[in-house]
Amino acid sequence: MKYSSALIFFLAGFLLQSTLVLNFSIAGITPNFLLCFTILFSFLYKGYQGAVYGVIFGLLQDIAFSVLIGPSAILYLLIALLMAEIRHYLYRDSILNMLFTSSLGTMLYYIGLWLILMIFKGNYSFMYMLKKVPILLALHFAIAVIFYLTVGKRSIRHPQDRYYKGRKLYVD
Amino acid sequence: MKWYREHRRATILGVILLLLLSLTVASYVNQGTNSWLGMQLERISAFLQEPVRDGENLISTTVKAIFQFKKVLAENEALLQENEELRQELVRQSLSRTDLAELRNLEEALNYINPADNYSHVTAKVIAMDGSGWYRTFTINAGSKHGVKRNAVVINRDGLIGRILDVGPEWAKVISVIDESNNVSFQVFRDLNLLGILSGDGKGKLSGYMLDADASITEGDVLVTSGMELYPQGIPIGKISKITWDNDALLRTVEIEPAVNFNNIQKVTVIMTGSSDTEQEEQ
Repeated sequence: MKYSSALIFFLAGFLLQSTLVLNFSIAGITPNFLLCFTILFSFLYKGYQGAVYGVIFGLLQDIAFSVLIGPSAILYLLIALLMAEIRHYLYRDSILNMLFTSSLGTMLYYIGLWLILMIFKGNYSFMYMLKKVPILLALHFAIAVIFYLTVGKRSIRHPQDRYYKGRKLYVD
Repeated sequence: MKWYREHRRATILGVILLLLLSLTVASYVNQGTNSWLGMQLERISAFLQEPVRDGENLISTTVKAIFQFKKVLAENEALLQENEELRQELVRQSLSRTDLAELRNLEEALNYINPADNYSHVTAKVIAMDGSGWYRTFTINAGSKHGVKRNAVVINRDGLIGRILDVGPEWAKVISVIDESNNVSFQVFRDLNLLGILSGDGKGKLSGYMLDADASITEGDVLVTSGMELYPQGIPIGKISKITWDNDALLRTVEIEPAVNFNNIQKVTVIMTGSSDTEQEEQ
């Protein structure tokens, strides 16, 4: 995946996450598109798109919505690195592995965020966070599957494949 | 250098992590202040978010109008009736011209300063909000150009929302009262002599305690701001949902259901007090 194509996904995710998607919240919770794309781009594609845009858009997210600037960027970076490592051990063409990676990434992000907020502010309940996680896990898995079936699944085609149609967007 | 060449990726990663950690610590120390770069990024972000939010509002109101036509008509009828009743009530409640003139003369004679004269207000739209459910911090489309200052109080028709955390030329970042770790003093609306202190409980609600341990309060009591610090007096905060006795602290603690639905805030009013600047400098 090219950096420019990944940028479009991250930019759209950032804008939708803070505006349109708020109308479709479940119990006041909406999916974190930036986290989903960080996980997906790091797991499905070679390169540093997930890490680079994770840090940039994580910083933007922190600047726009958080009192502390940096926690999301740090966590996106660490999760992107972990997913890049996991891709060497897990088969990418599997929905079960999408479930595993999206769940692991989501859990790590929210536990990490809770830890950082506890260190700096000490005002967030762990149980309150845990109650939100199941809905987030379901939403993030749904996004991962949709992305995998529509865009990600084509990423494993090799450019030299005789059936490859030359869609540059999906070049691995 | 040799070590760096051999571990180039690890070094770059370490430096980035260190920079991000320093940024986090710096933002914690200087809460609510933004660097030039941060201001520009926020400005670009607000510039992009506003048309998206406007488009979304247009679509949702159009769809709502089509599918809920009957409901809107019924609402309209009810509002017209309520308007008529309120007009009649207004006529009954209005002071006569003579009474008003007398009161004004008295006000001048006593050199009375009306607290409401110290406040000005700006109405703004929410252009972006974090939907993760963690923060209730959001961006509005009014900034220093419109007279918004840091620490100005933000309310809507339901009650207290929070205060301005950071402000740019055309945008401002609002921190909600449920995210706030600072204390807010309150009064019980039923008996204004009953005072207490509250703050966010980290679970999306508010909790606090009564200054008088024997205060006679009940579940459902409405709480309003006391006007002792940042927030002007009389803004609804919420209702008491639970009262408990803390044996260790010997205090009557309360859990409060906020009056504002923080999941759905469309428009807000920013109240500016004459003292906002001073408070900004103090903090």
